[in-house]
Amino acid sequence: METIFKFILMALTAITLENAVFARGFGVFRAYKMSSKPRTLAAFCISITCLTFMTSLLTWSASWLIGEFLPEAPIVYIRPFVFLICAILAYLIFYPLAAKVKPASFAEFKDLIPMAAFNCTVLGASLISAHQSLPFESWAGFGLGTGIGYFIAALIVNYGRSLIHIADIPRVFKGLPIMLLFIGLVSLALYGLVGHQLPI
Amino acid sequence: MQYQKLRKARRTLKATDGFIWHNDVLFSGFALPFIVVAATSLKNAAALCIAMLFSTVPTALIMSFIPVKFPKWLRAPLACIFSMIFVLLSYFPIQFISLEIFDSIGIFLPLVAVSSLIFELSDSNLHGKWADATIGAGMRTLGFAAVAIIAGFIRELLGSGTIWGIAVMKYKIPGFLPVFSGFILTAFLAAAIRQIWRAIMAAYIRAENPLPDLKEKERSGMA
Repeated sequence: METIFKFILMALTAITLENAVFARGFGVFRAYKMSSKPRTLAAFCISITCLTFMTSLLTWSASWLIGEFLPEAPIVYIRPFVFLICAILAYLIFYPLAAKVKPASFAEFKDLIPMAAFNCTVLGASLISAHQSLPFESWAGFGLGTGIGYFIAALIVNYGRSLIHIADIPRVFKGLPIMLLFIGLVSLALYGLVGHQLPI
Repeated sequence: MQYQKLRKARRTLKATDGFIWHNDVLFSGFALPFIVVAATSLKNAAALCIAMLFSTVPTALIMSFIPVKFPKWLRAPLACIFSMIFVLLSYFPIQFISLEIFDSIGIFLPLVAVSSLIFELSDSNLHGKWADATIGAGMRTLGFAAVAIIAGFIRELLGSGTIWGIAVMKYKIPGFLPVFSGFILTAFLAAAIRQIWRAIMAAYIRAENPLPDLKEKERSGMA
């Protein structure tokens, strides 16, 4: 029961207080580029959520193995490389699985899967969990929550884009500048919720 | 209207694509987490620039030799592996910047290996054109470096009252250091560069197509 509670709590933390887009700026470029195409955005976000969760499970296992069998190893060099290998393994599992489970959607969105697998969100979630030395249930919860949080953030960016589209924006602010201002203001609101200390 | 000077200027500037012409960060939004979150000081910005240089240029060079027949869906993981190796190699020169640099930047240093710039390099069709690939990657790194250093300088000076860790100002605004101020500062930098470009293009057009003298027109009309 306590395990499930910690999992849910960490997932909620990753969705709200340590949101990948608003608290760390992960995946802002992709969320902005795809916000005009809802179906593409949905497919991308689902892929990121699955890949982040799968990568989290693999990276926890890798981190445990490193701790058990290579305690003296220089962790600063080994950990990022091993975590990247785990992300690649998750991608190699997910890509053919997506082709088998949903062939029609896969044919339409297969170019998005590498984008979803190799970005700061997927690897960043695992590196943050490792930095904070989280236990397994919290690590997995943080991974799942990061993906879901990215999905929600992308929906907020999409909503913001539709509001900005009908507003009278100065010419030099049209496009990326106004979207960054919008994301910055939402980030400011979340910063007020968190307090004055954001862990890296 | 004449546009020859403008066209000539554009052809010349296109050689700096990613740096001066269509800066990757300010026009396209690449590599934003590093500018918005990590570039809170000049030292951090310098470390990120070294890591980005080490990761993009060699990766672009290697990827230009990968055969065209290589499966497209495996290009990105391959590029990320090479990029991560070079980012880890960059730790050696970065450690000379400061003793606390790795604590200061945190997880953002290894994340350079999976930045959107690396993904774009893996996706580009520059097979065999190793010189173009290397120069292109160099320009993109310069573009990132320019924005990172400007953002790092402004945020460190106004947020901490220091430049390169040396105190220069008593008055400081800590609100320049959190993430939201990074987004807002980058937004204003992006708007500023657009305005500068508009002014430059307008100057070229005006140089070739000067406005008619209105008083002369009135006199000739009256005569």
